[in-house]
Amino acid sequence: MNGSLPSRALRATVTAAVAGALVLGLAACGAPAKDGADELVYWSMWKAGEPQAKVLESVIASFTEETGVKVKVEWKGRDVAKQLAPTLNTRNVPADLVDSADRFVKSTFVATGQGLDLSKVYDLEIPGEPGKKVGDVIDAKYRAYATTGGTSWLVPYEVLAEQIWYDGNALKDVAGAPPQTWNDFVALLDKRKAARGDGPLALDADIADYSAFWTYHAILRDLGPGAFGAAATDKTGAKFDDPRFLTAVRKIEQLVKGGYFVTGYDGSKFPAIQQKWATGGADFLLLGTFAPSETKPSAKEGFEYRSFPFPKGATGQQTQEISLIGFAIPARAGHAEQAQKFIAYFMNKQRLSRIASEANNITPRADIEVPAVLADVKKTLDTAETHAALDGVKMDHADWYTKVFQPVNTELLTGKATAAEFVARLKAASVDFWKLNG
Amino acid sequence: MAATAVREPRAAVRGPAPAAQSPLARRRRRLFWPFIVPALVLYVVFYVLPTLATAWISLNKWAGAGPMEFAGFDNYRRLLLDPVFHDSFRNTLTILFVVGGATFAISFVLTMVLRDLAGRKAVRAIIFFPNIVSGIVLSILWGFLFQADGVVNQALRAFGVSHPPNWLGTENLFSVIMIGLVWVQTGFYTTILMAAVDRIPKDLYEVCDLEGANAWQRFRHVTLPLMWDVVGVCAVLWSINAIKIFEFVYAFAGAAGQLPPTKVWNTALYAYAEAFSSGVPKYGSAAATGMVMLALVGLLVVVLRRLFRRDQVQF
Repeated sequence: MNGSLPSRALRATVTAAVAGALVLGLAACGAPAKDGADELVYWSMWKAGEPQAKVLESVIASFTEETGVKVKVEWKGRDVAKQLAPTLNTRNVPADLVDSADRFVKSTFVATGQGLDLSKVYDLEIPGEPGKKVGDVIDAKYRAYATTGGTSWLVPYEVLAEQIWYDGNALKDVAGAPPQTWNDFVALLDKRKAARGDGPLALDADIADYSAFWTYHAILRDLGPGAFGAAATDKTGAKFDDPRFLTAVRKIEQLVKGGYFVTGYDGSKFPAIQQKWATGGADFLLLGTFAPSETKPSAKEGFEYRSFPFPKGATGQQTQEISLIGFAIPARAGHAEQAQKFIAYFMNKQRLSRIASEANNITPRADIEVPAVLADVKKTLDTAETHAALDGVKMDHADWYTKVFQPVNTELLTGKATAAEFVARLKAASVDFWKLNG
Repeated sequence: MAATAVREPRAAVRGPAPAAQSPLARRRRRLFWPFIVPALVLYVVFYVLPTLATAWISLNKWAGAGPMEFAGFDNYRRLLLDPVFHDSFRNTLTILFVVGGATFAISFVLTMVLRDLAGRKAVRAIIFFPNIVSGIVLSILWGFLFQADGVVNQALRAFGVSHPPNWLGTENLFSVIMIGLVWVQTGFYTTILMAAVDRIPKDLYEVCDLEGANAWQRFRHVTLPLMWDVVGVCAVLWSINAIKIFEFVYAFAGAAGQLPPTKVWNTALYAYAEAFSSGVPKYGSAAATGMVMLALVGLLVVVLRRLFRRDQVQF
């Protein structure tokens, strides 16, 4: 038995065991070594095989070929910012370049002061387009959107926008003259409801954001952009007392009480209802520009993707909600310069246009043609004032949005609360929330 | 019965007194640390230190990156006052006691029914099945069963129920989650309890038959006392599991990368949301929630250990 092991051997065993455990522990904390100056690590929000990943992959290959800078790309998926966050104030930030949706970049990089100011990138000349800087080709409104306090925190390469989608083939009269005002819209809904004997509006109400789309659009159309965000942060709750607020919410109550949402919208599992819409089970779907690519596999034959903006309200102004996807660089990235070079390289018209032609999305360059299914959205983007989706509330006050707004809003959208109850509950919960978190 | 099941005196259970110091025992003692140290180091590095770090983070305001700001017990104070945390905590306790109660009740019944059933091994494999499949897959399947046009409602309509319940509506969602949890967990506990029942000698039941004991008396006086220690272990396992339940609720009630409605959050989801909902991460608050969960687990384990402490029965 081992009881006879000499004590020296014993000590050696203990030392080896402790050392082994420590090495294991330290290895877990360490980060990959960075040596070569001509390389960069890129963490992407896309998964390998997604259309955007394919475009990026081939641009990376040509970038390496032309500049000699090796790009080590990791397809992390949508949680990329969450995964990077814990490493941002360590000495070895594992990524030199990331891409993500605006709100994740803002909450991870801007709020913590761990993002590199990208103003320099906007001043870089685009390889292959002599005399043109990144800042010259990206629409100024998108740059302003991605700049806070003079610091540019994102260089966008994709623009998302919310509109009301429908099948232009089935609803030819709508395609000819889409509803402009709320009354036009309700008249159209009445007609469609009578025609199909069920609510014409599709909504996967189990996705809290999708329910929120209806309410905040109604509020912004009646009170103007910024009104929802201002009410959200009003510590006294007085802004909810504005009679226009209740009037706006009554529009949504009218949709719920009037049975304008398709049967089952409040008891289904995403994406059941949007699929039902794509197969012709409902007429209208309020969703982002990702709607066509998400629903295409289940769309009925001949489905023609058309869209119109959420109708005008009391302000009489047509505005358009947008969000951005783009690049960011951690402040402590080891190869920030190479990362900046890559961004400028990607912004080249020929290369960026593949985000439109192959990944079916709108780019922030006005001179790139949009995919046919998004032509209506582009028309609105060119003419209407743009502002942040969900009025920036989900981006800047996610806690309030999740804990205060969403529960009450779900009650409103599923008919458990009237407009007046909604406003009263939202105000009370808001005041309590800010007392605790103000 | 008494002739076979013998209560051992406590001292015998605790083992011999440490007085005996044979050369073998001495060498054994010398080898104690070499064998313990590797595990201890790993345990300290991967469990104790992270726990201490979590405790420290819970006393700070921290976005996961950037500077930490010492906040004392402010994160705990917020939890005490946050109505969403109240709901989450209540849901955790509901899962613990209601789902736990139902799971154990069904497990006991199944154990009793299956004891004498032909083909019990096959049945045991079938009811254990939900444990093998990933919780995420099950919860997605569960969602499609219960949605408005789902299998359950189609079946109900076929039986003439024209207005079946809105299972996934906010008013029923948590109940459906609880039913799902019972369904997922029952097989696991039934399997453990059946193993405990299997080792009870058959002759005890023969004695019961001879003495004319009914099913309840058999369960009360033979089965339950002889499986009591296993039931205690199961209760502890369940408490720890119940408080940590996350993926079933997250995947069943949330979708498209979004969190489920706050009404169905438990403390695990609350902690996740504090750190990872799309705003500025609140690691301090998430860590404080983690510490509350740890305290709850600790308290329950101590209480359950006391509750289930019995003199060991040998048979």
